[in-house]
Amino acid sequence: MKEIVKEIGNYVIKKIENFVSYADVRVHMFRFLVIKTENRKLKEIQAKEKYSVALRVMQNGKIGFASITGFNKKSLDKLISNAFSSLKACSTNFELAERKPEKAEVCSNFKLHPCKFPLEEKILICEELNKISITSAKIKVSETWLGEMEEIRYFTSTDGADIITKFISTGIKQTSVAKENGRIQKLSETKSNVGGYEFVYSENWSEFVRKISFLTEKMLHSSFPPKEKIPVILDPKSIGLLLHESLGHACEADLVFSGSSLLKNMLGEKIASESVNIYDSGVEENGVFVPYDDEGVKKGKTEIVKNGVLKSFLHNRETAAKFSTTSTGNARAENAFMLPLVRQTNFFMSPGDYKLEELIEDTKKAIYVSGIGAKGGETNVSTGYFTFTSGVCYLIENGEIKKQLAQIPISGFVTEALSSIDAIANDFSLHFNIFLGCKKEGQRVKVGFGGPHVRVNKVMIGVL
Amino acid sequence: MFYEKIEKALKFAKKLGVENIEIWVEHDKINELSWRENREIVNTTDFTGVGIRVIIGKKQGKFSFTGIGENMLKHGIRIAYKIAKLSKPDHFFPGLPEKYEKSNVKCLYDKKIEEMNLEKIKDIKNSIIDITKMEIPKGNIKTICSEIFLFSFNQEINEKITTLSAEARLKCGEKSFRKTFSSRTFEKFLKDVETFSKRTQLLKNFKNPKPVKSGKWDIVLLPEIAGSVFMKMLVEQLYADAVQKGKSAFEETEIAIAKENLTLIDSGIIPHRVGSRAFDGDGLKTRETILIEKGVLKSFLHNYYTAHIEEVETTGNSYRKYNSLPEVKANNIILKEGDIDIEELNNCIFVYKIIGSKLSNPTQGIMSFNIAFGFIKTDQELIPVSGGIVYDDFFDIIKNRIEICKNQEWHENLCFPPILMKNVNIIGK
Ligand SMILES: [Zn+2]
Repeated sequence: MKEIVKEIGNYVIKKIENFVSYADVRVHMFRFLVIKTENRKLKEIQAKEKYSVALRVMQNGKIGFASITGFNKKSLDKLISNAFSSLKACSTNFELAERKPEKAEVCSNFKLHPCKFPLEEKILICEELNKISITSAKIKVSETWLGEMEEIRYFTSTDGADIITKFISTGIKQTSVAKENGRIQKLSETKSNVGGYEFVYSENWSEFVRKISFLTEKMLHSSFPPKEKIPVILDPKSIGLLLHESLGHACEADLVFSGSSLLKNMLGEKIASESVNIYDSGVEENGVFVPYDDEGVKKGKTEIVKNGVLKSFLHNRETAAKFSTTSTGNARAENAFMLPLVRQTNFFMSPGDYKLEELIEDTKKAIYVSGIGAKGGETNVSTGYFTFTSGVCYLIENGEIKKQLAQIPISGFVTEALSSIDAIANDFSLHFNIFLGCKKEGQRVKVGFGGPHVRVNKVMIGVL
Repeated sequence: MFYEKIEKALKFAKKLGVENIEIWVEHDKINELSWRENREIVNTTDFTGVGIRVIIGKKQGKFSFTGIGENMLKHGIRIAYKIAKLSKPDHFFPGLPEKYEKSNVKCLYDKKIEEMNLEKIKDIKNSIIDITKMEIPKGNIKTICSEIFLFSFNQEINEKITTLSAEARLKCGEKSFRKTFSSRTFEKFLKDVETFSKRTQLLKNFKNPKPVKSGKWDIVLLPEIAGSVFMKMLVEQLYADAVQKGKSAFEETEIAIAKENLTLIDSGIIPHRVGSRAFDGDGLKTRETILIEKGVLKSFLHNYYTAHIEEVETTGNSYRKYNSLPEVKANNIILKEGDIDIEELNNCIFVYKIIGSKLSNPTQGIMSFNIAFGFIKTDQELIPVSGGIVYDDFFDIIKNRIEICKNQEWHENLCFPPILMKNVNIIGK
C-alpha cells in the first residue's frame, strides 16, 4: 500500500512541478466494516472501501483543485488536466502561510490488525454481546454493532513534504430500547478505541452492554430534575461535548474570519474561569490520530484557553495567512474528494486539582450529568448559545449521588458557562466515535473530545 | 474497456459459484464553483462508485468501493460472497428483478450541462444575481453529469443524466436566506430562478421583523415551504418500508385522510425534473402514482422488495446510491392546485422560510416549526415577522382547515401551490 500511494504522488508531482509555483497531492485510502446484530440475530454486514486522489495546484496566487477516484495513469493524467482547468477559472488571490515541509511515516498504535482477525469470529463476538445485552423481558429491542476502520493518508508536495499517516480504530455501539406499561426509553452509547482487535480483550464488553440495558430499564422509572437553579457536574464526555460544540466550532478561524463567530474580537480576553485550560491536540491517548493535517502541517498541541484567557484560534494555511500567524495544523478533509476545511482534532479541557470524591462531597445540591447516551445538540456560533440532550443524570444531595434522573436538555451561553466553573477534578478521559463524525459543510471527520469532571454553575436545565 | 472489466468480473463471480449478482456503477463528473464574499474556489471531481450485491438464495452480501479496476471488482465480489454466506436468510427477499426496464422520460440529459466549463458556471452565478437582484455573499453551483449502469448475470441497463444545482445564501436585510435550485436542464434551471425571484422580491426589504403574537392565525405556506412540510409530515409516511415497519401513521389505503380539495401525486417521469429518471434503484421503470385522490389515500410508494411483501406491483420508487441498498423514496411530488388567489388573502401570515421542523412528530401528526421569514398581510400593509412556533395537528389541518391556492411552482423535485392553513396555533410573544 505504502509503495502504491507514493508512486501515485510522485507521478503527479513530477509531471507538474515545472508548471506551478506550488502543488500538493493527497491520496486517501479508507476501509470500514460494521457488523450489526439485533435481538440475538445478525442483521447486516456493511463493508466499504474508498480510494481517492486530490491535487491542488497554485500559480500566481491562483488555486485549482481536482479529485478523482481512479489510481491508474490515465485517471491521474485526467486529474492533472482538471486541476489546471480549475486553476484557469480561478479569480481569487490566495495566500498560504509558510510551513516547514515535513517528511514522516507514522501509524497509530495497534497490536492485532483487523484483517488478521477472521470475520466469522467478529460476527460471533457481536452476536454474543447482543445476547448478553438482553437483560430482561423489558428490553424490547437491542442492537449491538462492532466496527473497525483503517485509514491511510499520504501527502506530498512540490516543496518536498512527504508524509504517510495510518490510523486504525475499532469500536462497539449498544442501543437498548426498554418498554413497560406503555412507557418507552431508548439509550445508545458507543465506545471507540485507537487500535486493532486486541480491544476485544482489553475491557469487559459484556459489562458495557449490560450496563446500557440496565440504565435504559432504570430510565423507565427515573424522575425529572428539580425545578430550581442548581449547578451541574459534567463528566468527561459531557464537558467534551459541550466544549466541542460551543467553543471548538467558534474557534475555527474560517468562521471567525467570515465574522460568524462570537469570538471574533476576543483573543486575549477572559472567556472562562481562571483554572480553565483548553487544548486542541492531534495525538492523544484514546483520541483521533492526526499527527499531520491534510496540508502536511504538523498538528501539535494548540493552546486555546490558558488560565481562562482565549489564546488562539484553529487555523489552516489560508486562514493563518489572513491572521498573519502560522497554521495550527487543523486543515482536515473527510477524504480526497473533498477540500480540507478548518476542523478540530482532539479538543479538551485539561485536569484540575480536585479529587472527584472531594468534588462530589463538596457539592450540596447538583445534577450529575453523565455522557452515557448524550445526544448531539445545536450551537449558534455567533451568539455562543448551545443546547444538547444530556446522557443519564443523577441527583447529588449533600455530597452524595442519589437517584437516577431522566435525560435532560442542557443549554446556556458558552462564555457564561465556562466562567461559572468553580471546580475541576484531576481525572481525565477522551472519547471519539468511529460510527459517526462531526459534520461541517457536508463533510464528516472524526473528532476527539473530553476533559475531567467539572462543576458548572450557570447552565439552564431545559431550553431557553 | 469498462464493459470488458464488468464481463470479466461477472465471469469470475459465476466461477466462484454465486447464484446471482448485481453490480451498480455510478460515474459522476462534477464541476463546482463555491464562493464566500470575494473568495471563489473551483473544483473538479471525477467519481466512480461501485456497489456489489451477491445473492445466495434468500441471503445477500454487499460491498461498495470507489474507483474501478479489475482487481478491485474481484476483491469486492469475494468479500460480498463471503458476507452473503455468513448472513442470515431474509425470507421476504424476492431476489433480483427478472427484467430491467426503462420508462421513456424526456429531458433528463442536457448536453449544455455536460459541456459547461468552469467559466460558464461563473456566468450562472451572475445570472442568479441578475435575476434575483439580490446579493449572494455565499453559495455554490454544481454541474453533475452522471452515468449509471446496472448489471446482473443476464441483463444490463444504463442511462446518462445531468443535474445543475445551486445553493445560494441570499442577503435579505440583515439576515441570510438559504435557497437551493436544482434541475436536469439549463433552461428549466433559469426558469425556476425566475419563478422564485418574482415571489421573493419583497424579502430584500426584510428589516426589523417582529415576533408573531401567540394565538390562532391563518397562515399561508408558500410553495417551497408547503412542499417541505408535506414531505416531512405526510409523504415520508407513505413510504411502504415505513408502513411495513410500523413507522407510519398509516396502515391501509382507501381511507379518507384529507379534504376533497387535496390530490397528491408522485411521478418519476416529468421532463427536466431532478426527481425524474428512466429506471429506479432496482432497475425498474419509473412511473406516476396517485397517492391521495380527492382526500382519499390511494397508494403507498414501493420498491421491488416492499411490493413483493404486499404482492403488489412496484411504483418505481426504489432509491439507492452505490454504497447503499435500495430504499423507498419519493421521485417528484406534485400537489394539484386549487382555485384560491393568494393576492386576495388578507389578515394572515405569509410564511417564506421555516426552521426547526425537527421537533415535529409526523407519526403523531404533531407539526412544529419556527417561522424564520414571514409577513403579516393586512389590506393596508405588509409587516415583516420572524419568530413564533407553529404547533398544531397536521392531520386535523388537512382534514378540516386546509385550502389550496392557484399557481403551482417547482422547487427541485417538489411542485406545490401555496397552501392556506386556517386557525393554526402559534406560540409566540
Ligand atoms: Zn461538531
